[in-house]
Amino acid sequence: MDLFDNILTGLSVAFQWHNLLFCFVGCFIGTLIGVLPGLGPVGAMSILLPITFGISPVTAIIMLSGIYYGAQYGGSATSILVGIPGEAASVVTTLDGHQMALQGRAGPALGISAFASFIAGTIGVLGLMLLAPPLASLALRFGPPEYFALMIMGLIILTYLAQKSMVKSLMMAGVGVLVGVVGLDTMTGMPRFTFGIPDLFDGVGIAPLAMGLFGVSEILLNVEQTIKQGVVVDRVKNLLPNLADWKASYKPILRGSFTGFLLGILPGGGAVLASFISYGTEKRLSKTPERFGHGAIEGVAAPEAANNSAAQAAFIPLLTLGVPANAVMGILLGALMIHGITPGPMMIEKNPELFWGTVTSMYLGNIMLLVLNLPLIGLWVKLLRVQYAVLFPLILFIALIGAYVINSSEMDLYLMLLFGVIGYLMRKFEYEPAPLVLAFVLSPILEDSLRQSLIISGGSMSIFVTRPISAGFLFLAALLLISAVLPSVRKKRSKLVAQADENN
Amino acid sequence: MNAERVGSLFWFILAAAAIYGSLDLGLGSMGQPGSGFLTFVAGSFVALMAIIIFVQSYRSDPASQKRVAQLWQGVKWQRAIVITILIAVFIMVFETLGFFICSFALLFIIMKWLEGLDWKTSVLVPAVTIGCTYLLFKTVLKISLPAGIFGF
Repeated sequence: MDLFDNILTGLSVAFQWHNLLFCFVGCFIGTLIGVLPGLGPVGAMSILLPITFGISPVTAIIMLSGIYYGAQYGGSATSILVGIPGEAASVVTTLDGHQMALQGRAGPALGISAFASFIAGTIGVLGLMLLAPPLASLALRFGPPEYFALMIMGLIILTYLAQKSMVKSLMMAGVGVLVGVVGLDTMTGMPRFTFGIPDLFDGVGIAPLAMGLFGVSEILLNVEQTIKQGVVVDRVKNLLPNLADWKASYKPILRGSFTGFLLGILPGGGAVLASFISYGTEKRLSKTPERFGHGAIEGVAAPEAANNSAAQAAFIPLLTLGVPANAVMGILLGALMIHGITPGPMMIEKNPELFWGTVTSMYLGNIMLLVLNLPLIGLWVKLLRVQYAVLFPLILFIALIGAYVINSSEMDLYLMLLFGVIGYLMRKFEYEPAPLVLAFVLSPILEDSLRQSLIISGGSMSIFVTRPISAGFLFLAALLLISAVLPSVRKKRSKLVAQADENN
Repeated sequence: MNAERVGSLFWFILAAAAIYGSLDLGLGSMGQPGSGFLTFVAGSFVALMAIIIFVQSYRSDPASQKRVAQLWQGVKWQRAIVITILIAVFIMVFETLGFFICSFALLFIIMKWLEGLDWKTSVLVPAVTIGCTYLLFKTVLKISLPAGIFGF
């Protein structure tokens, strides 16, 4: 089948009424999650995982994907109107977006952010369509050593990009592996770290873990502070950017889209990093860098394009290699597994409807988001005025019920609470939860590929460096580790962290 | 107490427990790794990182380091504890008392007692949310929710 046939297959799936409906629901919920500070796409997707039980796998993935890329759109509204990032990838948008709003240009800021997101989303989907099939064919050549090396590289990239200490992030990845192996060993049937509790024989679920670390911990941190209600700019007019705005923005949008796409593909990379890098690039390329931070429209267009394009590109490693690039993709992997589908090189061949249906639905989702975002801006403004005192008990309640209904298990609730408290303490002591979750998701594949590699090689570790692809991955990982300890790089990283802290 | 040192000690103890558990599970051989092989490697790695953080805490500028008490300074940490206790109690009685009673009690207590919202909000918002959630899970998705001893 050629690309055109594949797209037609995808469209026939995406245009089925229930898929359209769930795509819309996903985009709507995603925008809502993005708009509301305090609950990111990881928490929202894990909370809504049980809702997907009663629907087909393709519909489930279409909805969950919609939540993810919808959140990238929604986050910008809060950043621009309130000056508080709705979610992590919108932190940079706050710098110029809110300044524009304070100068009475909230409309063009929201408009350019929606259009940039749409253009970048479209480029991202096209890239996904063109790159995923050849990459999947290439991945067919991957054996256990290549998978093992790829996952190690992904974890190293993620920890390298950690906002705070790289050592702490590496440690969290190690803890993630330890949590990921809890349960029966699939090879020997031996229970590991289950403490004799039968509910733990199947292991720790991704939903209680992610909801605890991201959702409950966030609530616990927020309730001990007086939430500052930012200045909500509610007079939004002229949503369509004028010619001068377009002239200033079209190049940053294109550059942001490509930067985002490239960084999104990298395991461990993603929307947050893409938005920071594209903002920095535009500031460096600008003839008037002093305007940045004071309402430069390029400072909104580029990061918004980058985070959307990265969000689409992040699907590539998951759908072609079966390796999630970030925690959100980890949840999607979990959702696919629940539905009996193992993503990987064979998925495109075996489940073309699922792959092409999801990809084309993303395009439809981008159109829906563009249509949804601009006219509904009044609704989002109203929502931003809802007190946190009303909001957080509802988020907590939905998380509790969501965690329970997956297995109708009290144990899942206890686990969620436990990880919530651990996540709260981790954030207090400045340990990031993302490497833990990613390593947790990867640990079964990591263990299987390590064991299989060692069995193939008769116990020799040289198998990882004598095969060119795995050697390449490990070389890159080693390079990153070495560069991270070089004094000059360390200095630069600390400077970037300080900058990010200031921006926060 | 230095926060970095306390944090690293905690993870070191956890890693040591994992290493001990791994030895119990059996490491196997390089050619035939056992159930405890990866956990041993991961546990050792966590322990090594914890040691690095511990050592780093002595080498870095003392002025930039926080003490444990400072992490909870200027915040209403008691509220986080109350929420944690409320969640724990909710979990303990959820299957016994059922979805409606537990959910309403949790939301009402947080909204009225902890957040001091007015009666109307504290009753109406939970009632509507619980009703919608019940409809979604029980009627649309056909997922059962605990009825509890009162049968509803």
